[in-house]
Amino acid sequence: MQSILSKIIVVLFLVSCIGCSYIADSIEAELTNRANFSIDAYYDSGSVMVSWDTHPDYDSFAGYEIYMTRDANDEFSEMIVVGAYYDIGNSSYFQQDATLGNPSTSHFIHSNLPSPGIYFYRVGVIEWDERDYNNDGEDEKKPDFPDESLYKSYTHIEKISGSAMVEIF
Amino acid sequence: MNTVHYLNNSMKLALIHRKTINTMTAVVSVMGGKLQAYKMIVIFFISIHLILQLLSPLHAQQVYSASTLHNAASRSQTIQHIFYQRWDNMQNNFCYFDAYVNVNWVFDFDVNAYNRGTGETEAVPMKLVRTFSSMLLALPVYTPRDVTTNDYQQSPQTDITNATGALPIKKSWKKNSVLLGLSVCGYHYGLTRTVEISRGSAGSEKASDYVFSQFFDDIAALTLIIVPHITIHCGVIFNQQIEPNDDGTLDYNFDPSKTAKRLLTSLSLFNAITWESTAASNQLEATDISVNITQFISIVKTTPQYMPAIIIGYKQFKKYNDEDYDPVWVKNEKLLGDSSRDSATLYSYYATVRKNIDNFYMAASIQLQHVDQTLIDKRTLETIDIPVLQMWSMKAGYDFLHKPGWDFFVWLGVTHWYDPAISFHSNHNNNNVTGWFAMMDIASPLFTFTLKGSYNDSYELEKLVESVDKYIIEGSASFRL
Repeated sequence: MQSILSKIIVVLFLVSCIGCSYIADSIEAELTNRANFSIDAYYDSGSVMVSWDTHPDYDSFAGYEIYMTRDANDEFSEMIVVGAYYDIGNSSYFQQDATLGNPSTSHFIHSNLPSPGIYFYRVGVIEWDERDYNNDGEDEKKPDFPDESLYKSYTHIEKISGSAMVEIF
Repeated sequence: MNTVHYLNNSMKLALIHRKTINTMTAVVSVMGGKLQAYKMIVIFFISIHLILQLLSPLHAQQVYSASTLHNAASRSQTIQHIFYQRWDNMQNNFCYFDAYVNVNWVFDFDVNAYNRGTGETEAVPMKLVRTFSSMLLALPVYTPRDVTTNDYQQSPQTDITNATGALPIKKSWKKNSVLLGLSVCGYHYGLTRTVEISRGSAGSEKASDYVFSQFFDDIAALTLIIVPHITIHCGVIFNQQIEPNDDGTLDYNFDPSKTAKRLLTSLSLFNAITWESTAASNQLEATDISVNITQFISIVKTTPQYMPAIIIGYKQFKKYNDEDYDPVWVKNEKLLGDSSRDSATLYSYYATVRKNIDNFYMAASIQLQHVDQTLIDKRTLETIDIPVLQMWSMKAGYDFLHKPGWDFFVWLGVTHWYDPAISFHSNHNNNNVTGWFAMMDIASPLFTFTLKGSYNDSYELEKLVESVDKYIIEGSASFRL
């Protein structure tokens, strides 16, 4: 019995550790919010369609956010939020969209577009911070009654997509 | 991402200019004395080219160019070094399991990257990320029943700062017992770019993208330990290079059939004489032989308490191979289109002395060098005068706990390093740098934590010369049983 157990441990050990370098990288990627899924985005008739396929954690999901580069024709400029479930945007390109609060949503149509040029879009999966929302002495994955104020204070980007380039005419 | 080849611009320009000059000179010689005016024009342009050639390295020095990262042989040395360090820790603490994670960030890399928005290449600040993880398992396959004394001797550590758990935490392995070891280690290297994200009134956050080639090196190894006579390691190193997607993500797929492979072997006798080697394509690529003199003497007689640990060693490594990423040519300059390759071996001779007096630890090391071929600087085309002294270092540490299984070390060290690529990757006029490190090392019977900051530390430069003149932060943790 002990011999079989040892063999099982050895096999598990080997199987679980193939690609150890990738495991090492995934730890750092978690720490630095590495882009880890791809999205599609294209311009058509005065709006930009952004679509994605990712699987958020329903228990702590707070919403999707859509980001776009602040400056035209600069891939490396800061990204600003242009779409979210709550009204958090500071720019004229921001759109509040109720569908972004639904974890099964997979696309967003951006109509408040900036001046023509090349822009880059990303999608963020937002989760609630794990904390004691109802003061019962225990941490919860999400508040029982989420609102805009809580969203602004106690959410974070859990996953972020890679960038998709769009030329706006 | 943005398939920009980020070899050193100065190298490429120098090559192009040399070829152009050779071609032009040939044209001029064919024309002879008949076309003096054309000759003057050609000479004028040659002069312009020469001036550009002289100036280009000055501009290129500010921008990162990968060399060691592309060098799978060099990367293999790095991952092996950590692999052996982990086994040193296992043996010194008589553990049967060790899981270890290390994250290392090198800041302030300005890298020429293509901006898909502007359509131009520009210097973009990036961070070099190196992450290591390993799992080691030692299975006792034979334990003698008639031996009651714990007479195992500790293994020869060449790096004193790798002394986590300075006093062993567990009952020592019995003499003549046999252990079979299994190891898997992985090292990832790559550049990442930080993305600033404004979430409006919900605050700001940062994300990161993979940029340029990402390197994944893995080791799978078997170990045989016959306490305390023999320790044998043998394994395979897998070197893999993956190009990230244009959007900054990466599709990882470990496929052993598509990776470069190297073999590592190591033999240690009485933990006093150690031989380590790496082979690639049926060729011996690197060898390291060391003798722990103090340990060696202790085999036949008891060494006095005041005697420090003295380790001497010799290693050879085929370091320069006329690759694009090398900063030097071997023997002579190779023009564009010239497919011939020469190799030069770096021979190093080192000595380490270390001693602790109660809680106070200190160590000093020196490493001398010799290269068996002439090396030529790719920028100036001048022969490089390799100094004999490659490295020196002095380290001191204090253990505030110093109890079996429990340590709280603070280390400070000063180091010096020579590498012909240093002036390639920095504004140094020569290839010598002196640096420092500070480290905090906490160990408990089950867990260890280390935090290290360094600048031009020889240990880091030996692993990655591109990190010259850059601050490095490193954190690591381990779990052991």
